Amino acid sequence: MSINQDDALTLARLAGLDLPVEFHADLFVAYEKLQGMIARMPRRERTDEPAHIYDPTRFMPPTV
Amino acid sequence: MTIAEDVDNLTTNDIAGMGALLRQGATTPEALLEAYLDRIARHDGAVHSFLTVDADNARQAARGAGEELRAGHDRGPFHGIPFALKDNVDTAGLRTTGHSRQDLERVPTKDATLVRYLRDAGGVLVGKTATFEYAIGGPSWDLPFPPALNPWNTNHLPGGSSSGSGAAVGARFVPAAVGTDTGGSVRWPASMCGVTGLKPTYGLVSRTGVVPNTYSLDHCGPITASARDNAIMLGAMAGPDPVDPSSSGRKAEDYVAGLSGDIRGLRVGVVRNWYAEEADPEITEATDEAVRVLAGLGATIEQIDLGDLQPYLDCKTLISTAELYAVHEKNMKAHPEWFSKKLRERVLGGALMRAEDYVHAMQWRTELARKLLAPFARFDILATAGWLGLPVLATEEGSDFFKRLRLITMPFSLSGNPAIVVPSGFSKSGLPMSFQLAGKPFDEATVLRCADAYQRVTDWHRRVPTLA
Repeated sequence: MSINQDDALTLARLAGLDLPVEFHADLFVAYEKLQGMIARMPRRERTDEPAHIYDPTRFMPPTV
Repeated sequence: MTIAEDVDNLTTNDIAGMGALLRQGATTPEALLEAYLDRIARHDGAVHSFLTVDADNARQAARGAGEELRAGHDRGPFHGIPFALKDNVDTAGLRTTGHSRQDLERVPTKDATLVRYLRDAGGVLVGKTATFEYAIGGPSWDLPFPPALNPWNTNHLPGGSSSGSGAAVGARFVPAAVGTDTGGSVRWPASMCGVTGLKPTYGLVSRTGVVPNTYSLDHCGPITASARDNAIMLGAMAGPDPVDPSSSGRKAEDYVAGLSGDIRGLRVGVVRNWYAEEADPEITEATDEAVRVLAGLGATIEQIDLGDLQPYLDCKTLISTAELYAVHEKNMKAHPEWFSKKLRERVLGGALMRAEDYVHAMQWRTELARKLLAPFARFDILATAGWLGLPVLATEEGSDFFKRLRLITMPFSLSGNPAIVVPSGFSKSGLPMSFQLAGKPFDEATVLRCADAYQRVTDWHRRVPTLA
């Protein structure tokens, strides 16, 4: 679903980003490109989760 | 004739050659440094590759390196070698700006881990080089420093984001420079400047003390004239870092030891569909010719189709957009005017990106990486073009990210395996071209061996631009 420029500004404000008007065009350029990429992105099945792994040994303090 | 006596005749002086001269007593680290400082002073006004030349501290480091060598303390092949750092790599006591007005006065208190490694290897830091703002927003003309220009033709850009590092090595202002590579930022400028640039395996070189671009994809790598020099520099800068969660923990290897020149039987898969139709025709021709050279050296060649480039580009850019915004959120909210227009346009989308889209992009990355790495069951190397176009004109229009050719470097940024660009010739207009070789994760040795074998029978990497 695409959104219009007013929607984009509202979403930005909800994200805590209250941009001065002179930078609105930069936001619209950025979001327009993003929309195309998101639309082309495939979605995985909910059990197919290969990316977000965590290795707790990485964060152990050095052994004395 | 020593290097110091013939400062412009640097074309045949690779790092190994300089090392031999240093150990023979034919020159000294101090004289070597002065030769490069002189060349920078005479020519960098036209190239803008350096943001900071740290001559006084470099002289002190060179003096120390010389005293050690004369006392018989030899730290290895990088001892006494001048090098530069992209200005997003922290240096203790020396400003690190990220080429941004936001950090004009930022002086780190600690060296990045890779800088410590390079200094421990005896390297002599000459200075800090231009980049796109925070390694992504550029080239920009609305920043306190001008963008670097291409030493082969200063009407053109040198690629980026490690633009100053590529230009400085291309111009032979230094024999070695560090770049960072998130989507191609070592390989693109190396390609544009006629030098050799390696993105090592993700996690081989520490990122502690390097200004982040995209945590999941950031790499640091060497830019040098030749693959042999690249092997020397990688050996000096790679290694474990317990502070960096992405560190593989692997020690650097002796990457020079494997440079036998022998690639007989090496299995090379050529990803021709990524460049054959889309690249500048001269680049297509040069890449095909480079592959023929590898075949002539005894490599076995087979074409392989890894699908369209676009999914790799979309996936990388989505991940970067989310992470970039996380990196820059605080200042973007408080002071959007501090950013260059180009960086704002790259970062702002992240404010509107949904969390689930980032999660899906990360999952997509794994899927694409599996697709890219699968062929290594039957190939040792994948070969393709280094970049799809020639260096563009140094104008706002010519450098618009969203109008660029598709980035043929990005697939290997996602898969994290080593990839090197190697000079493959010059266009009719005199601009550099390159091809790219990728290997198995942590098999930098084979990638460098293949590149070095090619460079033993070609001389593109030895050519040096005439500077104004």
